[in-house]
Amino acid sequence: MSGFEEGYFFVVVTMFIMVFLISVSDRLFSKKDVSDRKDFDERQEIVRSKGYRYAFYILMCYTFFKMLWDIARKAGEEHIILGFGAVCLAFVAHASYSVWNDGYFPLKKNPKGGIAMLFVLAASEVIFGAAELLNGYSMNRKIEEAVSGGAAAEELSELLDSRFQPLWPVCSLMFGFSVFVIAAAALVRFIYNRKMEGTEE
Amino acid sequence: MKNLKLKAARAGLDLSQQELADIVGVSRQTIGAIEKGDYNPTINLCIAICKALGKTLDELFWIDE
Repeated sequence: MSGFEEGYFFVVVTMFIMVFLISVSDRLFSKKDVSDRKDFDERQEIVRSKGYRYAFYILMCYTFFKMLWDIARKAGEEHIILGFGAVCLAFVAHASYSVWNDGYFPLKKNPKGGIAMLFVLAASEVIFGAAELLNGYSMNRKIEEAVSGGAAAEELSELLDSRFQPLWPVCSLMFGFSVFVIAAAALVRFIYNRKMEGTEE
Repeated sequence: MKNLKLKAARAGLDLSQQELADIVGVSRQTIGAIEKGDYNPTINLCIAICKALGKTLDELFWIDE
């Protein structure tokens, strides 16, 4: 382990120990009777739980994009990914805002079909991207084995010609993820509108 | 759906949202959210509000079709 990694590991472990100690001491030294503990009321607890959920989603999004970034960086194509990522972000911002304000689907069109199409598009992009990535990794592994195994120049040349370029699968995954976010927003809005129609006075 | 019965019962006793919240043991925003229809309280909170306002559950929380 390098010095940086050791320091990073130490900080993370220390944070976990501190959180554990604080939560244990809170349980041991605070009031025992639960009914006396009125830190937050029931609605506030629900709001805070939702907040934790959104934080988790953000962490998952970051982990996903970090993984894509690392893949693209290994191939030296991170500048293209950055640009495409900005386009995806702008696309999601525009479409999500329109969806949430009931401005995405045309007046006389039933949104169900549009939402289904979005989910199908997102799924196909994600499946294509993931399949290409997996295929590409196995191809790269073959090349590494051929190189370490001392393969003939012709065989090596053939393998290098079909060397995996992660740019398109990574872009496909990013686009698929963006469309999935929009499709999810559209579905949630559709269900919300249906509920509101049912309770209108 | 807005809970106008709750609002009327609270106004009838000349209580502000904060005062009712203090009696019941929740935040003012929670009482406001219940009156606006943005939050559905648990049965325990419903009972606590009914006791504070001297009303029954039907009188405050039943929805007439």
